Amino acid sequence: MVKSKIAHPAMIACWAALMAVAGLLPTFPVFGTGGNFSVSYALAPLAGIMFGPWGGALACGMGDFIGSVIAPHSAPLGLFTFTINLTNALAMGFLCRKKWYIALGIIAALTVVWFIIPLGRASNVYSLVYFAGMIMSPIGGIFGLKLFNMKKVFAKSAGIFLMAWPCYIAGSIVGNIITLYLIVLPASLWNNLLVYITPIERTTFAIGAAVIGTPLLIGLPKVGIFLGPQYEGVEQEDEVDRQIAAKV
Amino acid sequence: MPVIEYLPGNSFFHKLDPRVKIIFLLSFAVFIFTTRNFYIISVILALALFLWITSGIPIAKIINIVRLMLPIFIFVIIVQALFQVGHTNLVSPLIPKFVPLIGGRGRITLEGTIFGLVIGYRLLTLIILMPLISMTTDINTLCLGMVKMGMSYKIAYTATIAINMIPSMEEQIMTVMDAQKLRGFAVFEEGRIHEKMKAYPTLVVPMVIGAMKKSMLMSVAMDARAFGSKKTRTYIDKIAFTATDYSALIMLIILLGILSYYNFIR
Repeated sequence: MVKSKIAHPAMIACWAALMAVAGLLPTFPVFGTGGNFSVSYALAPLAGIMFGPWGGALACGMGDFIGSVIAPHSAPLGLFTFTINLTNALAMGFLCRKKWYIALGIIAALTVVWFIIPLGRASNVYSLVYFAGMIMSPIGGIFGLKLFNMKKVFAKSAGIFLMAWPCYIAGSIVGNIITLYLIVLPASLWNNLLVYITPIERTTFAIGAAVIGTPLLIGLPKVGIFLGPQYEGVEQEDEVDRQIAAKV
Repeated sequence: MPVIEYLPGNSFFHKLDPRVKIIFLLSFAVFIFTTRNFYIISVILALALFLWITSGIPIAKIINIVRLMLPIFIFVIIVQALFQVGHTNLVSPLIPKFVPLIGGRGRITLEGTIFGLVIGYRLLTLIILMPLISMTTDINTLCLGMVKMGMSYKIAYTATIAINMIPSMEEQIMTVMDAQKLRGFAVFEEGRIHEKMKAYPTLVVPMVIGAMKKSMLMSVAMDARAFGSKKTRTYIDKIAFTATDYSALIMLIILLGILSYYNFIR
């Protein structure tokens, strides 16, 4: 009897390997660092959904770290790049497990850190993006989760999108704080340009996560893999029995 | 070919204990993170290059990293040149005055350009530190070093499995990608955003499902061998600090002390 509450190290390892490889598949450029948006960005919130906050964070952090060793050019923030997807998965893990207040707390705490840094304080207009993330946390955690638990494909997609958006913001705050130190982008760039680009970018990422995540989360139980908040606490074999009974 | 390239050797850096190398990497990464001093970054870069050359790692690998990182460096330099505050104008105005509405705006400053170059230089130093460790240390020894430094055995082992799985995962991606290209989804490398948005799920979903199936089999195999049942582990390889490691550690501390003095106090 295997409980799916705690992800097995083999699953975490597979996901980490997947993240590392997916990081090598570029899709389109990201303005903030000059790097590329890779498929691994779309997989990060899905890891949070499937493995929970800690398992998801570990799988994403490990995968991105390995990815940055294999291909240093795919990690625009060097050794620190892995923290972005780690935070994203962590926030998503909490958000989709009815603990949206922890995801909100993560965004709020990171926003405080942003304001502690002088350049962050100077880029105060940009912090509106973070406040949007804070507002979206309860929306994603309550309304998004309800949609996510529905069986309709569109509702599930909308649920993933609503939950993923604030988590991408959480990840982006970590990336931005590192960028403040490492690339030292001027406040005028944050306030006049990136404040418009970041929400569009994160919306695209969240759509990407929904587009990839919906067929994935529908498909996995059909091949006998039950991962995600809806299966936690349920013995896998019982779930298989329930599905067989439902079919009969 | 292993995914994380290890080049065996007999150099001073090769022989060091993995824990010393990890301390070296982390301390310099944090240092680069906090400094903007060109001379301090140059000292760290010179040390990294010295170790890189004496370890017998081909310089062509650095050139390759620089070539791949070039778009990011150029982006950083352009952004700093355009947006960083400076007094010496190199190009002003950036947009000619005869252009309606936006004419006469923007400038490129000397200070911004130099600052951009320093930031790019710093980024390069940070990025070449990582392969220095991975190319001179066997991955199992590196994981053992992490365990000895306090990392959970389960996490270190998970990382080892992940690294070993990457080649088969890459192969799987290529197979799925080829299969999808045969079905007409040929926009993975080139194509518009909405085309890629349509094409990528057809690549990622089978890839993830395949990986998860593989992980289920692996988890059964691991559980059957009672993985993680004993908290204390024994290892085939043993690592221990030698006099060379202690002296390298002392030299590292002295160097960090000198750099900290110049960075934070002077």
